[in-house]
Amino acid sequence: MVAPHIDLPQGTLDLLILRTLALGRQHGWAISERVQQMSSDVLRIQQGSLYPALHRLERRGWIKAHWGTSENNRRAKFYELSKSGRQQLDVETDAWAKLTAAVAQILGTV
Amino acid sequence: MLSDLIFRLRSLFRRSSVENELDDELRFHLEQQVEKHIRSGLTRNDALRQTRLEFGGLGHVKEDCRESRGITFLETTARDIRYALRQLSRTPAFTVTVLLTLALGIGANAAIFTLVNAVLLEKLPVADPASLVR
Repeated sequence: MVAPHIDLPQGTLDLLILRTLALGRQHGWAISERVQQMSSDVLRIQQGSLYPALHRLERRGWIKAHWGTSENNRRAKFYELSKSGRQQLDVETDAWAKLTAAVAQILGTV
Repeated sequence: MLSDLIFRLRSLFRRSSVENELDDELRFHLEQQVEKHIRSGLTRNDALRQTRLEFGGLGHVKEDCRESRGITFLETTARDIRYALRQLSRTPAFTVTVLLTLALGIGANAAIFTLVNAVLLEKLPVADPASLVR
């Protein structure tokens, strides 16, 4: 039962949401499930911080929301990546790669 | 830019429907999570409890959502103004005194400035004021 969950570092939540939505439109719950699955259960999104992040991304115009019907026939709010969201995903993926490479380099030299 | 503005205006003026949508969205999430826990073998009560624990305070999450919609500043300002008006209407004597003080203060200042302006500051309305003889 004790799984080694890691809390998300600041600022990575947006990136993970955008990446998840690049696979297709999803509702909020599915996004948190997908992130958990794709990270082999290591990452767990703080569910309370997921929705503020979604609304923030929607405001920036990176994702679009509309109401639809879920797999189990319920009304759910689906999010999908917008064009500028796709660009933002590229930008943030790039930045993330640079950051991790730089940190790894520092850790490797010491 | 434009979408940001539309998004905020909608949050501001269609407040109740935006709030309802937020409720629906979060309720959907919580129900999904409860069902997931029930599928994994918890009793309904335990599943509810577990879900609530994971999610954190609902009111808190909602407040964060409102904040990230970018209208908190306007809303709290409006709330402050309403509060001030309510307080003022509760103490009419005080309100009248304050209003009179302000009105007289501003009125007296404006009157005196008009006078000083005309007498001391403005140039005389002639072509070459320096050449005038007393």
